[in-house]
Amino acid sequence: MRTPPGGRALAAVLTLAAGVSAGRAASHREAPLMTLDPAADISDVYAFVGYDAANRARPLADRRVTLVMNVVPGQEPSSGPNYFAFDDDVLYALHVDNDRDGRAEDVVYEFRFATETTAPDQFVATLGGGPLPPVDSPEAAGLARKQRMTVTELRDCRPTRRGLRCDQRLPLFDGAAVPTAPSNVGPRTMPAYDDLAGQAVLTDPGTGIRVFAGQRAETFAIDLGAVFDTLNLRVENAVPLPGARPPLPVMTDAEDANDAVSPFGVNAFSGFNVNTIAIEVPIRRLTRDGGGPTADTGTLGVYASTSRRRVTVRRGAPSVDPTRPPKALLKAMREYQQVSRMGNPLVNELIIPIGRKDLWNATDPADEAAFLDAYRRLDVASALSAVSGVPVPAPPREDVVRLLLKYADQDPSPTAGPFADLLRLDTTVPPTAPADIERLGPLAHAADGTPTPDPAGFPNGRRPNDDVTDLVVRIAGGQAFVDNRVGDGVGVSENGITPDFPFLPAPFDGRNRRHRDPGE
Amino acid sequence: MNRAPTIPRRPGRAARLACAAGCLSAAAALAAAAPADRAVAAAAARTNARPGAAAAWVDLAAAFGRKARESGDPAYWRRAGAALDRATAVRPGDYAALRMRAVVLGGLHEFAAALAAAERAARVAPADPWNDATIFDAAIELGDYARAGAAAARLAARRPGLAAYARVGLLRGLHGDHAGALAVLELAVRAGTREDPESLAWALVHLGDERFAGGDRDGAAAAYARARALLPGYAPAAGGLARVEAAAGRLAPAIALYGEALASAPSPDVAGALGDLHAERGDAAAADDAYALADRLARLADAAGVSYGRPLVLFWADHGRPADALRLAEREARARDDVHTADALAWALHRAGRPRAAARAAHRALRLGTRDALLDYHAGAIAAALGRTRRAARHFRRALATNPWFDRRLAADARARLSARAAGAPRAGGRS
Repeated sequence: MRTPPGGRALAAVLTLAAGVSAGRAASHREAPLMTLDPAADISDVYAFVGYDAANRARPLADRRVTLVMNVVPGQEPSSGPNYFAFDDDVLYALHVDNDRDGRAEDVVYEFRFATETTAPDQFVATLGGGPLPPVDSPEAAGLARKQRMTVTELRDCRPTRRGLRCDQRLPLFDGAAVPTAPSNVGPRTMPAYDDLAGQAVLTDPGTGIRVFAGQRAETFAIDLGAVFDTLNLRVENAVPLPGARPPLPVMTDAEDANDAVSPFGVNAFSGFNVNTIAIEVPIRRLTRDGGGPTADTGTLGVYASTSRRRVTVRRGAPSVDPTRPPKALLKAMREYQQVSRMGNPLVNELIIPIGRKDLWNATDPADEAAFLDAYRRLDVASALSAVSGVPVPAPPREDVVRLLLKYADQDPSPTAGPFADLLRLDTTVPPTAPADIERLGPLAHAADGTPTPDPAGFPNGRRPNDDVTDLVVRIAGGQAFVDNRVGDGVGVSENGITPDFPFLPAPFDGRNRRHRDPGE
Repeated sequence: MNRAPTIPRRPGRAARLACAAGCLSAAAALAAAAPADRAVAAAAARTNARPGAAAAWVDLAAAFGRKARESGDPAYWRRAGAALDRATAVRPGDYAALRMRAVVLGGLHEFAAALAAAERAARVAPADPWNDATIFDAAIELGDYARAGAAAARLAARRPGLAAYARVGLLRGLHGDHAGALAVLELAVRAGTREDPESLAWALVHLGDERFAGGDRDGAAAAYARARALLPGYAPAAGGLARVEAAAGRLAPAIALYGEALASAPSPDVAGALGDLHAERGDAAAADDAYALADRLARLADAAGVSYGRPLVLFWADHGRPADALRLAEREARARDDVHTADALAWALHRAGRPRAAARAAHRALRLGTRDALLDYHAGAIAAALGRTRRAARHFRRALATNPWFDRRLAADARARLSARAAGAPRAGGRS
């Protein structure tokens, strides 16, 4: 789920009342209403066949797929002196379904972090270019805190009440912890940030898997303020949709075809950073028969999850040593409970009702059938219709269920499962070269309106620059919205498309950060 | 509808520059400066613009709740309740308003009504951990520990994180599992974030309380100090630090810190504690002023319909108003059955010269096996009044073993009584 910049409460919105103070007692002390959990808050998930030159040159059987999860969204780059990290208590995972049964536990990558404080006496966490040499590596002396990552590949897993049970478990890098890229503090401290971050791109010699974890610039672009003001899209410079009240802004064919310019929307994420975990895997390691992708084996389902440590309430047998917590509690704390997940974009925000958001986050995507009513009702489409007066397809929205929850070759009957919220990627589709990537994927068109579909983008997997906001508005709104180029008026983010792994741009640095308004 | 517009959330450039010179907390401090007023203003602007949107009214209620917590002024809980009334008027049955109702009632200390509201919301959305949290919060105040335990278990299973960990830690502490409570509260603090300073500060104060309860004065001070740096003017943090300073006999800083807590969130118990410190320093005039303030604040809170319960009972009981203390304690005990209300009733009965009834209440106060030096001290003094000297000694020893710093005056008294007994006071009478 996405926390917008500004840190509004989204993720775990829990009341924290509970009084009892002054030595656990005394005056009722009201606690805060909401708790944020940005470290476990998954803002975006991407899955695509890498579009770097090397991968495009490979034969299909040798191509690689890149999976990305972003957390800690909406980072203001100039957040000194405390910068952003992953949480050592959170288990991060990317899950793959390779046999189209909706269970994405065929191959799972788990990422764990450990923070080491190497210079507790240093007065700020990051120092360089003055008293110390510039920070030129993830192991530099000027980094008082260093965060490292271990990666494990799990195969043939089954979910159990206590977590995943897997037949195979392969620690990458022989179980060694690898460096991560620190937050981009600024040019004096980190004069060559790209080189520094590049040292956190590492290849496991045994499998050829590449990983990266660290700060990146946000590429998700949306006019958040307008969309979440009940779809109050900006009309000032837009063409009004005839018959709509208030006039629904639409783009001209030429505006809609130009990904580089945002015709009227305000990108709320301009100039913000995010924490990224990216992994590049040979497709062969992911197919169910270990061969190159074919029409039969090449489609993968993907989702990301974060989990937090379990605790128990029952006191259990007290430990012999009263200064040690009870054994049952220590055992529970070694296990994890999923607290956030994401497959398709905007599902939690736009489809799941508030009273069930936490339940949805804790649910295995294979059990999505429990939420089918919300997909079929698609209240956001009714809202779109109510504010604009433009009709939308009537519920039940089996088209949305099929698109988000089913594989293309699955039985289309409304009663036929499995239903699973997964990003579905056909890896046999060749990657589109960066210069030719279209933000609207299958709905892309030229300036004169001629269709120019780009089959390598959402909803075929998702790339970092796919415009899921416009796509979702048009999919939810139906044909009238597609034909009229309705959207939030925000195109590809200012950094454009990054042509190499991890396919997300270098983060904005703390000193020179700014947030762009439209027209800049 | 969760996406919101860009709001600059960091302090201005000046603060950042100041921090380059090494002030690690200043940025966080400025970021947190008066956020409640800003939240109220922003939410009010939205309700003015769209008075027909229930969600905006619920946001406004949440903002007033934040203001109430920050200022300690219960009047803001009433305004939060009025905002919720508007939400339900424009959209009857609105779920967000329904689940928020339990929070507002809890803020008004109407715990039975809060529990009923929370359970109503839980029937509408059985899987929403929000309702587990509000059920827990009301049940723990009412002393319904079985219900609180079940709610905490559901919350921890559904949404582990700061909110769940802090509550589980609290429950473990109440049940005498000090080590388990510490482990879970430390987890709560680690799950916190500077982006949400109020929740983190709240978890830190709970950790400080648990550490202090176990006699870890320095550890408690460190947790309170971190909370205070994170959220300047956060009264529970300043109050906790004041308690630690007072326990260490550093009266001047303790007085200053209690003053700080009072300035941001005036409450009668803090004013009373401040008076005691002035009295201990021999400043009778300042003590009287503080006591008068405590009295005025108590009456104001009472007029607003919010009772301070236990702290006021203990304050009155120890400051020459045993009849008032007992009346309030009995009223409280009719409304709730938690261990701290039982302890307050026990002490009020003791001061009113009714030791047998006091002993029964003290027994009830210790029914969970809570390791809390003050509960044991009270039980010990009551047992001594009944002539049950061996039982009294056991309670005094346990109080001192649990936390030798729990209260300078009372700890000294416990030690004196124990040494008098050891010095050969006749092992008279008391069966115990």
